[in-house]
Amino acid sequence: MQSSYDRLHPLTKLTWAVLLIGCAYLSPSFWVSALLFVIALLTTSVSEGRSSIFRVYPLFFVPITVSLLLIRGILIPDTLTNPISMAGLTISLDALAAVGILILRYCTLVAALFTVIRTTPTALLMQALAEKGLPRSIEFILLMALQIIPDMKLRADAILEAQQSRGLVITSLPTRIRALVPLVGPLVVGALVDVEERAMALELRAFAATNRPTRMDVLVDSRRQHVARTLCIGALILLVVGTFGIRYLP
Amino acid sequence: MNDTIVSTSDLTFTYARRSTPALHGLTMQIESGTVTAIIGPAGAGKSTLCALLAGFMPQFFRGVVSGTAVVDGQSPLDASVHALLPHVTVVLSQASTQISGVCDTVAGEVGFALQNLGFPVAEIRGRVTEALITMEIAHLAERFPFQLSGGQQQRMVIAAALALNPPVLVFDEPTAQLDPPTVAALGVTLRQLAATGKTIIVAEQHLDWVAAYADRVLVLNKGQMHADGPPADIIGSAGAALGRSYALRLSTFATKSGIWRDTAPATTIDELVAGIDPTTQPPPFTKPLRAASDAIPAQPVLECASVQFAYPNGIPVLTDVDLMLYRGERIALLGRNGAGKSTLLRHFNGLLRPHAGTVSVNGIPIGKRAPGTLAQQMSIVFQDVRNQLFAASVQAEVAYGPSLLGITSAEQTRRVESALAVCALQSDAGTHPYDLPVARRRLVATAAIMALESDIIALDEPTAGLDDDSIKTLTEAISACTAAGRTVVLVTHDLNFCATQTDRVILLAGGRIILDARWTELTDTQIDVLAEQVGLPLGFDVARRCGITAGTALHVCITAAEGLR
Repeated sequence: MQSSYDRLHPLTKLTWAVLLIGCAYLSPSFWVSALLFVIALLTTSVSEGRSSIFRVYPLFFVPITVSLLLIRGILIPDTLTNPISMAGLTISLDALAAVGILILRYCTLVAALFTVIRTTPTALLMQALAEKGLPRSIEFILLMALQIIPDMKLRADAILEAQQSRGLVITSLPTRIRALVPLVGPLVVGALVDVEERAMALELRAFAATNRPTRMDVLVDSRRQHVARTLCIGALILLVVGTFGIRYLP
Repeated sequence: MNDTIVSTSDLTFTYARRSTPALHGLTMQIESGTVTAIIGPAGAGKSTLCALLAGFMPQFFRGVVSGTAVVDGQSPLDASVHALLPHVTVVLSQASTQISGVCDTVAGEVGFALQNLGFPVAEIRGRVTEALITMEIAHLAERFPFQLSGGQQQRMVIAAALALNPPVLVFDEPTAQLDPPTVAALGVTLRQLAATGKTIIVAEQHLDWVAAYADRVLVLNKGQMHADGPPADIIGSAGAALGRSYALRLSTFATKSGIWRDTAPATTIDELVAGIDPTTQPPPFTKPLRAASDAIPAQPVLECASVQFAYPNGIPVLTDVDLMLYRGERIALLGRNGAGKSTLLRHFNGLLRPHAGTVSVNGIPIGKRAPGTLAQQMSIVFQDVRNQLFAASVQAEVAYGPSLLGITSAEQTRRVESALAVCALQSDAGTHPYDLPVARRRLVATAAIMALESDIIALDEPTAGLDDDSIKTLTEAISACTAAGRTVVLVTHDLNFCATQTDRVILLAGGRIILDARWTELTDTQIDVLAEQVGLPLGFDVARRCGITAGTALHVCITAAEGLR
């Protein structure tokens, strides 16, 4: 059963995501960035597969948050204004706010795009883009990019199973480091081979044929969605023009 | 006489950075409306020829090519793969690598090429439905392609090729991952397609299948044409086929045993049925298979009690599986594609945890123990060995597992040398695994697991892609394991291999064990169940077709199985 969000035209979902991302990257305010991130999470929450999507988010959010906080908030104290010394470390609220904006931008981007990708079959997304005139070569590159994550995930799981079946146990940092080559080696070789094989598979399915392709699925669109997309694009353009106009015009 | 639709003249192809040509001066002509099989040992050039005929050279596989090739009036050396699709398409041996990744459903994948070629929607739907029905996967039409089992994926990519309906269809080892009923059905389908004028070219290792369904057999060896002729002439001669079919082995054995009333050796099961004299008592066994009366340790080495498992989508995969494996047993785990064999295997060493029930190894429940900690008790060689191999040399690859077990370096060395010897890999010890042919690479993966000297060793489709020599090596490796008291589990569709290499058969259907018996004790009813689900090994099939019931057939069946060893 799909939610109302899931049933939206792929381009409507994509345009909304692009608007959120655009706003997040143009916003200089921490609180506006936070609000945009919350909106992105709310968008996820109205999708059918929200629970599985929310389970994945920490894997994206936590590493980048920790590393950015370390790099910008603590490890580069020279650039800090209004520094505060705490437990032998010097941090700054201003710097934390700045790094917070960076983190929120990244998280908004991940949440917005991931929700679109997880709620839209790849074929329908590509079909929607192709119907708007996206060249096949770009479609091919996008496909490869979209497929690489699930492909790598499947292969990584299979590699882990294969190495565990011959005695690999990961219990600590040293064992994790020692496991790197047996786990990453086949993954890299597999990824290189996979790209080649995927290209062959697409060729075998006439993906590069110059004929006008037939579409078995009919994308459901509506006037309201069309208007919504136009408004999103318009808002984004206004925002870009406004932001850069204020910043650079005399 | 039909028209020539595929021809090559003095065709030579050498892969980039290789000095030896994969195809060397190949000249051949193939008539339309025929099934032509290409056989030969590993590295003979079969897959290269298949890929070349479909237009993959030099677009995808770079190298130096000379000579000419023509397929349905087109030159595959000059045209792109997609431009050739109205004339020829190919199904490669690894199904998972032929999934476009674009489509979210099986039906979409099967019809994807037709969409890209601009066929009308109604025609696409019709062709897709027909192809799905032909490959018996209509019930999987709405499933996600990557969630199918290996065999189901193989059926899907074959369906995609059938849906294209070109005049020439090329198959590179299409039966490698299919269950026996589907293999037989595929043979019938290919014959039917040939009868409608399609030209079928199949590179295949299963000589019995080739003998049953091909009109003509081409034998390649080191890239050159070794022999060319009708199946009876080629498959009936080990020298011509560079290998022996099970039918040939059985008829040779029957001749020696005095139960063969024909003069010529058999190449098909029909010839075997006609040739074997069921009234003549065969000689006593010289090497009987293990029987129930043989001493069995009281303690099972592995026990599954009421194991249940379902994937996150809620579809049950295993239901109330009760099973005990004993030390030194050789077990065939059989079932159709998607029956739950691989899932059950993953429960044996804790890669998957049962939703209900318990799995115990040496009397101790696995519980939440990490799979790696169980490697000394249970290890698995998976189908796709690429996920396992990472080291720079065969020796290092085989040594990796023992190095994780906390054993002395002297013991590690002993195990590595023993595994290399048993898998006949000593001469390749310093070679990079990826520099070896696929069949030898599989042996490397097997040796890497053998070196663990686990109590139970499981091999998932161990004969897929192996030639006669490699199968012989594998057979010896399995014998060495059981001789050392280890339990071997074979998950395979190769019935003749498992009937001759195992003592006990476990049959899974719909996630349940519906048969668990020793080959020597199968009843008529059980033989019927086996035949219905996965087919019968040749010895049993011949006896059954000769009208011999299990009680009296047992001797013939077992003797026949012995003849295949």
